[in-house]
Order: sequence, then C-alpha cells, then structure tokens
Amino acid sequence: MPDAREVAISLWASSRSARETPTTHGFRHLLEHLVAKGRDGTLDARLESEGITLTASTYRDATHIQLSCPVGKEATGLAALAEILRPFATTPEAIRREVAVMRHEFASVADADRLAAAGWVASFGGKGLDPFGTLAALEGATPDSLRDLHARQFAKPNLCVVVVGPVDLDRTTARIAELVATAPDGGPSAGDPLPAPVAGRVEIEQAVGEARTGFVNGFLRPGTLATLGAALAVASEMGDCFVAYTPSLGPGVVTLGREEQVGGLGARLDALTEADKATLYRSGYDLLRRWIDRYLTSPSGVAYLRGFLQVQELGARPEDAVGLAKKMTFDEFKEGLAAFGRDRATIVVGVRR
Amino acid sequence: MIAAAVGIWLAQVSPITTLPMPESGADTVCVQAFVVLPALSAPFRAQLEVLADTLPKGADNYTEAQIRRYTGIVGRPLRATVGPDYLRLEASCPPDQLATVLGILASVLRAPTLSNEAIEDSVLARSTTTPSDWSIALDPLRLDFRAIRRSDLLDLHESIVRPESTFLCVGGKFDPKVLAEVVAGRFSGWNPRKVVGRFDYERETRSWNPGLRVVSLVGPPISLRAEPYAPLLAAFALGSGKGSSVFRVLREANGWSYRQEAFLWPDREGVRLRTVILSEARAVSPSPEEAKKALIADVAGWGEATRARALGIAEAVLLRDAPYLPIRLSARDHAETENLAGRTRLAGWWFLKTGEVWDPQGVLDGLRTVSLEKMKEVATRNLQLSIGLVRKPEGAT
Repeated sequence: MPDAREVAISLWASSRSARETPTTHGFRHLLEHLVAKGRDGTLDARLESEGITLTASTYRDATHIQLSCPVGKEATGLAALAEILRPFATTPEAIRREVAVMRHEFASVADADRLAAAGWVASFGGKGLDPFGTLAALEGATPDSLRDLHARQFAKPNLCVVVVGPVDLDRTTARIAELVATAPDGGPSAGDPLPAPVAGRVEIEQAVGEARTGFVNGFLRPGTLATLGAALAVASEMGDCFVAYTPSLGPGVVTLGREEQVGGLGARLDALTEADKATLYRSGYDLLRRWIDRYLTSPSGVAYLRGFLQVQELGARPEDAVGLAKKMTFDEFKEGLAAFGRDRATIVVGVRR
Repeated sequence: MIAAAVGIWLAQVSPITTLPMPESGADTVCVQAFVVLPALSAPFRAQLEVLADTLPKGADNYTEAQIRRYTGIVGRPLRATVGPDYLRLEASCPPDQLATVLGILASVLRAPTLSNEAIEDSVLARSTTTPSDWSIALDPLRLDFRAIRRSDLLDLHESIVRPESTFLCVGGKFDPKVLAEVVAGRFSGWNPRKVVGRFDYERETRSWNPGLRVVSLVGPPISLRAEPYAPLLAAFALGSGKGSSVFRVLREANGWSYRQEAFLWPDREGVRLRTVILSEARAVSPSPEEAKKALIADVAGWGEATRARALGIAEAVLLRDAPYLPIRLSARDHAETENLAGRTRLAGWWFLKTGEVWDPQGVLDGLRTVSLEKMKEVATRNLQLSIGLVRKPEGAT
C-alpha cells in the first residue's frame, strides 16, 4: 500500500503449541500483558514518543501484537518486536503486580464479552478455553512457566509478521527474516480439535443482556460469511446490538447480542417474516462486503486479517472472502439467519440479580 | 481525511447553520444534526431520552419504514442520541440519497409523529434497560420513564428542537453547492419559537454493580473558545495511551485499576477534565483524594519527554486515526476519527465548542504551540479544583 499514511506491523503468534488447561487458563493472556511492556517496562511510552501505538490482544487461536507507525518509522516498530521475541524473563513480583491489575480487568469485563464467552462455554463445554483465563489459575503462574510458554508460543513455526504500508519491500523483508531468525525453533504442535457444538440455553448473573451464538465452520466458508452477514444485518436493523466474531479457520461461533436489555433481540429473530428476510438480505449483503473491505483497505486491517489467516494456515487469503461474499445468495443468507434460531443457536440470557 | 471546509452558512442564508466537511475519498455521506440542550432536571432528561428514541419512528412526510429504508442503506440507520450538551441525530447514506436523507432529517426535526405506540415501546425498553458499568460510571443519573406521556414529548420537542438551536455538520462525498441548496429548501419556513425555560437541575443516581468501585475526578468547566489546545494537550498527556499519567500512575505503579481514563467531558459551558477509575470492589483502590494527589505529583514531574509523548500520541490520533482521542461526547460516544460518521460527529461538536473548523493538521499544529509549563499548569489546576466522587457497593470501604 504505497499511498498509505501509516505503516502497520502485526506480529502473530499461533497458540497451537501453547494450548491451555484449567491450571494454566489465562497464562497466554498474562504473558501478553507482560511481554508488551518490553525489556524495561517502558516500551509503550518510548513508542508513543515516536508517534507509534502498540496494542496487544489474546485470542483462542493466536496472540497479536500490532503497531501503527508513522511512515518512515517501521524500523523502530520492528525493533520493538525484537524486544517481544527475545527470551522472556520476569519476576514473581512482576507477575503478582500484573495479576493484581488483571483482577480489576476481570471485574470490568464488558457485558457483551461476558455474554459471548458464556455462549462459547455453553456450546463447546470445556474445550477451546476462553483466552481471558481465571484468577485462580493466574495465581499459579511462575517466571519459569511463563518463560517456557513464551519459548513455545513465540517459536519460529508459530510466527507470522506482516508489514503493510509504504515500505522498501526488500529491506523490510530482510529485517523481518533477521527478526524471526532470533526466535526459538520450536517443536511439534499438538492438535486440539473442538467437539461438535451443542445448542442450548444458559443464564448468567454477571451481565445484563441477551445473545445468540450461531455455529460456523471456518472463516473461508460460504455458510460462515452468510451467518456473519445475517448477524450484521439484524444488528444494524435493531441498533445497540453487538456482533462478536473472530475469523478463525476452524469451527467457532458468530455471536449476535444486545447489552442492557433482555427479550427484544430474541423476539425479533424468532418473528422474522419472508419479507423481513428479504429486506435484511439487501442490507446484509452490503454490510458483509463493507466488513470485509475494512480489512482490505487500511494497513492495520490488512495486517490484522492477512496475518491472522496466515498464522492459522499458510496460504489462506482474505481476498477469497470477497469472492464468497459477492456470491452470497438469498437462500444462503436465510440459512445464516436460521443459525440464530431458537432451535439451532445457543441462547444466553444475562440478568444481574 | 477531511478536506478543508468550504464554508459555513449562517442563519441569514439558510434557516439553520451548516458546516460542510467534504471528503473526496469517501463513498458515503454522513449528516449530523446537533440540538443545543438547556440544563435539564431528571424528569425532563428522561423525556428527552424517550424523545430521542421516538424521533426516528416517523414524521409528517416519512413513515418509520421509509426512514429506515433510506437511512439504513449503508448500515447506519437514523438514530438520535442524548449527550450532556446536545441532542444529536445521525444518518448516513450513499451520495445520491443525500437530498432524501436531509428531507427526512428536516421532517423528523420539525414534525415528528411521536406516536403513542413508539413512545410505549421506548418507555418499556428504557424501563427494562440496565446500562453498562462504564456508562453508569460516566453518567450515573437515574431516570424514571414510567409516567411519560405524548403531550410531555410534544412540549419538550417544541421547547428544545428549534432552528436557532440546531446545527448541521455534513461530511463525506457531496457537492457543497448542492448541499446548500438542499438544506435551504428542506428547512425553509422553519422559524424560531419561544423558549420555554423550566428545566431545573437535580440528580438521583443509579444503583451500582456490586462487583465494582468507581472513583471519578471532575474538574471545573473549561471554555474551549479562547484556548482549545492547552486543555487538549493536557488531556493527551494525562489520559491518552499507555504512557499516560493515568496508565503509569494508577495502573502500573499502584495497581489500582485496569481501566482508567482521563478525557475532556462535555459540559454546557464547554468541557470538564474528568478522570474515571474503575476497580474491582474488594481490591485495593484509591480514594478520590489519593488518586488526585498521585496524579498531581506525577504532573509536577512532567518534563519535555512527557510533552513529546503527548504530541506523539496526538499525531497518531490526528494524522493516522489511532483511537486514543481524549474526548468523550456522551456516556456512550467516544470521539472517533477512524470512520466518516465519527469524524463528522467530532467536526460538528468541535465547531460548536471552539468556533473552529476541525482540521487535524491544524489542531496538531495548535497543540505544538503549547509549552510544557502551560500544559502542566492546565492539568494541575484542573486536578486541584476537581471534585472527587466515589461509587461503591453497600458496605465496601
């Protein structure tokens, strides 16, 4: 993207070699917090002084470090990644302090996230643990366990670096190769397939709102995009709704929900007429294409989606989603809507008592 | 990016003031209508929320279905939201639908249907809604929607929604000359009306999530008309990014919170510098005085590196749309620059607060003129004069 106003840099580290168990649930999240501080705890402030922002996120499939740099400062951004990839070291005190901060994070999770997480757990049981983790598990984290986790997750076979923007391709590619060469080699990865999802109904007391999870089989599948388009259309029509979806290439869910109120979303979904569906199809078709375009037209969007797909499966391309979205038929869209039906979706109801 | 504004039409040319913000690269148009609010007591505030819900549900010349169809094409149907300072209506559309959408806005503003059915739907929804914890932290006013009648809304609409208190900001792909003609046509004959001044102010607060404790520091009103840049740079230094004072002091140094923000908050007299700290209810967290003291001590130690970081993150926000602008437009609206609707919303709000056109490079240049001493003085004064508020579950310390 030679005309872009920024250079976006994404480092993706697959979680395939770092699956969590109930006793390590949230270690990747904790590691993300600690690793993003850099070698001396001041990485963010140093980058921000150069106009560079850093964000870090933990997903089920991978950990993501994203930098947005002014044009010409990509070398500083890549040097920041070198701090993240270097062998990790921390102290019990640093872990204790960060877990104390995460205790506040756990308490202030948005209701939308709580509803979506509850939908996943109800659908898949104990598999595919929520990347957020539990405080009980985090209290068991040690410097050694995190150093080992870093060495496994940030190993060469698990990494993908994407740089998007007006950069010198040869020089940047060579720099990325140097960077990745410093990472550990890594061993074989253990697979952890999800079980078939089970529809149901769950009530939670930590949030107010409602949500429905529609089951999907992977981002680059027509049914998945139709389900996503259906969720976007209903959310747009109703307003104040949220759609949660991580473009995983494996099985997962599209969550359509509404914070703050209970009843309206489900009632709407269960009462859709054929005419309603036709109207929603028109907006869903446009909204789905706009959703994909968002990840193809900005450096940060491209770095996010291309990197996320590549780190899951070499050769997976976001452009393939454009073709699938363009071909979405009315029947496919209706099937996408049906995924949120009361008999097919997991229903989550949040009532704070 | 927002191109230079081509001009502002005053009331003598068009019935309402309009700020055009064309963007050549956009493929849609976004229209924001701001209606200046008087001070409102809780009952009138409740009426206003219901009015906002009900406005998009039909008007003299358009049914709800037509409004939804024409304004929903690009996924952002007409909606009205209430902030501390303005009632705001927002609609987006493809460029060839701009005249229709302006016609809808004119009709909704001037002659909304306000049907009993729509009012009942809103009252039911509002009465069964529990806002998010963060929304309540920002706006804890508890509202009672139960007794609201259509006649209340008609009175309120007549008192508040008037041409002299309404302002349009239009962003995206359009021809400014055509826009001028369409606005003049759609809003012609809308004349100023008598203001009904009866909105006294009182507060009653919402019940609070027992799992959370919130500490809030609310500074005195600041007018941005005389000097918008020093308060904004102080807010960048204090609250924007992970090198900000609130992040370093409250979260990293003391472990008092995970989510903490400092930002400019709308006030009818301008803005206020607010700091909000959300903590787990039983964990160690600060009293307002402790938070204030820690932040003032940090500001005292600000140096040129602090100013450079604030300008660095400001550049990322203003020139590359990083989502860290330390301005909030309401409990639900964070000021955004990364999409057309957000930019148009911010451009209108900024013009109303400062009298200046939102020009990101110009704002960055203005921020660069603020000295370290001035930035420190503004932050210190507003923290020192801030009122501390704490909300916590019953029995918590």
